[in-house]
Amino acid sequence: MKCKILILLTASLISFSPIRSQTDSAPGDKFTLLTKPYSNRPLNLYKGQFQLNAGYKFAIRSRSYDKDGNLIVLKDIGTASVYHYYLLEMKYGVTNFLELSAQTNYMKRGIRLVTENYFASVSDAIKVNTVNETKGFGDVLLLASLRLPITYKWFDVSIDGGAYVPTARYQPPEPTHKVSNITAASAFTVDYHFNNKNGYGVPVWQLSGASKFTVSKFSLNAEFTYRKPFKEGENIRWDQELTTTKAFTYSTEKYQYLLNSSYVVNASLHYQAAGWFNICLNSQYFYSGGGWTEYWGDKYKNREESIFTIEPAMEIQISPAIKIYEVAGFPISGRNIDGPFYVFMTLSFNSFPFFR
Amino acid sequence: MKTNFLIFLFLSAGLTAMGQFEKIIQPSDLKQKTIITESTTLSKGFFRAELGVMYLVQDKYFDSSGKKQYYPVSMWGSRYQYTLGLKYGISDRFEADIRLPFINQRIENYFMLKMPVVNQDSSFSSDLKGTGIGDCNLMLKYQIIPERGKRMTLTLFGDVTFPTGPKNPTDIKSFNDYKLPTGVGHFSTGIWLYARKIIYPYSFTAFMNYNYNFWGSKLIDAEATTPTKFRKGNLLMISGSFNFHLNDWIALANEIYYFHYGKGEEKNGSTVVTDPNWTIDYVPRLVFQIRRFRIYEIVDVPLFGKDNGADPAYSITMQYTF
Repeated sequence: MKCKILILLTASLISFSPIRSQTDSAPGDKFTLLTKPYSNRPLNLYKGQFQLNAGYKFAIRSRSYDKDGNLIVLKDIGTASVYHYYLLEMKYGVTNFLELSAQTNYMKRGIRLVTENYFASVSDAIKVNTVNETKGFGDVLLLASLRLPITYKWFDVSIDGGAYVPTARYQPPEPTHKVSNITAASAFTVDYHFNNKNGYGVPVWQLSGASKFTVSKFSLNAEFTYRKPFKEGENIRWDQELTTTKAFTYSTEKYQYLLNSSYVVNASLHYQAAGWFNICLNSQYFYSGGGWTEYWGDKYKNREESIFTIEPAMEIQISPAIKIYEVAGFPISGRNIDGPFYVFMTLSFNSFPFFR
Repeated sequence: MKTNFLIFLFLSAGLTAMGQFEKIIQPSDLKQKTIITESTTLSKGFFRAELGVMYLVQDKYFDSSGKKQYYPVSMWGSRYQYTLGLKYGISDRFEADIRLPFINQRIENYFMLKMPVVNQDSSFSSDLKGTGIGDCNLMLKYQIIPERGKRMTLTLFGDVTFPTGPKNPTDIKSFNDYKLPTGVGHFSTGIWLYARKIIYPYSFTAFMNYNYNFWGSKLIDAEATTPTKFRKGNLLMISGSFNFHLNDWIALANEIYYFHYGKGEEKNGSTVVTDPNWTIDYVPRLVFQIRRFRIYEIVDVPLFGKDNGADPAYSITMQYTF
């Protein structure tokens, strides 16, 4: 009888502590992999992981650097402008050590030049405004990334290779100049408006290497990327003529070009403040040069450009599937290049579509 | 056997008894509600302070045919607006808000003058700045149909904007060297009707606002010698939003706004009429809620419009509920 009562008592008490004790996820399950903090993640995606990134960058082009590295405040000469850049990227982990990705972008910006007033008399005064607009999709970048065939603990290395496929339009459409405020035959305003596209026009290959070290909550990441065009390209340049009826006629002229080769070096220090929150300070150096552009049958060397930027950034894990990245960029020094301040926000969606 | 059965029944009874509990809502829980779940007005005695910064540049505009165009001249305008907001729940259905803006704006102009006849080139530049308090706003909100369960709520807002900011250019040294005004220079009042329905984790809102602008007078530009009487066009604003939780503490709001500004007038000897204009804006808001603390990241993107600015405005606002 006592034995029976004990069995019944045990059975009843067990019913108070039900299956809830089984809360730990298995180390390799989808949830665990998707919620791994930055400090515990390898450089590539896991096998079967799909990632979709959509980003928006807003840049204020208020500063520029001349050939000697001197700062030019574009706001002071009224030629500052803004830059909108949208990124779409898809990645897939074929294995734990091989990742494939494709990305493209859309950008728009308009760069104003200094307004010029040509004045001889009230009836002979011409005002000239110039805007160079660039708008459109960029080329598609296809990349394959290989990393060390080991489980990530504190050290990782990866190599990426791929190319920009010239899918985007690159030839500039016809300009949309106009004449307004006509007060006399030689007194009016000319608004030059040049339209440009965003594509390279030729394939450009890219090779990168990255490494990552983690010690406790700190991680150090270093990356090097090199880009070079496969070949020379051909494009058109628009020429215009103002007729007596104050309308423009346009003609085109072909020219050859070789894009600059470029490299980017990134070094970042990350701190995993919480499982869902990572902050980072990145430093970036960009250099481009070695290209040329043809003018009137002669090849002119492109300007060498370089810029050093500091980027504080953060990563927030919103849910197992969604992360947000926010980056702010501050130009520190440069040569022959614009130095915009920018904010770049990316929403990242992650899943294992083929795993249950 | 009977004894065993009774013991088992007695011990098992505890299982069902646990499911019966009363949900007690603490004031601290109410203060931690998100933009999706919180009431449309603050609860009685609650106080909320907010500090926001909005940044806007002048780069593009909608022309009269509705096309986005770049400002063609070499000119750069930027504006920071810092706003301190104080909100208080007078009752569970009645709230009072005050907004105190501080404005820092700048317009830079530069052009070259080339005179080939006399073989001379020269450049002209101006750097106009305006820093100071803007026009303060008082708003009262009353829940006509209060929040109960899944029922839609309807709230009536009424607001008055006072011309507290300086309305005239000051420190005038020349036509291109003076301080910009930071106030608009007239009273305005508005009425709002705001409806919301929550289907957790989603919420849907719709509102309509009509804002009436009174006559004012000010120096329209730095060269004006006498004040001009003016009345800006009244504003009709219609909006709808779809909002949802990304997780328990982050919400995303997607709002569409239609702004219509009516005909305005300026009288100084002759009468000048300004044409009506409009825009349709998309405004996504990402809202982080950390207990009583809240951070908003907001972008106001003008999608379509006519005779109006077409530049996005970026804002970050922090809120704390006491």
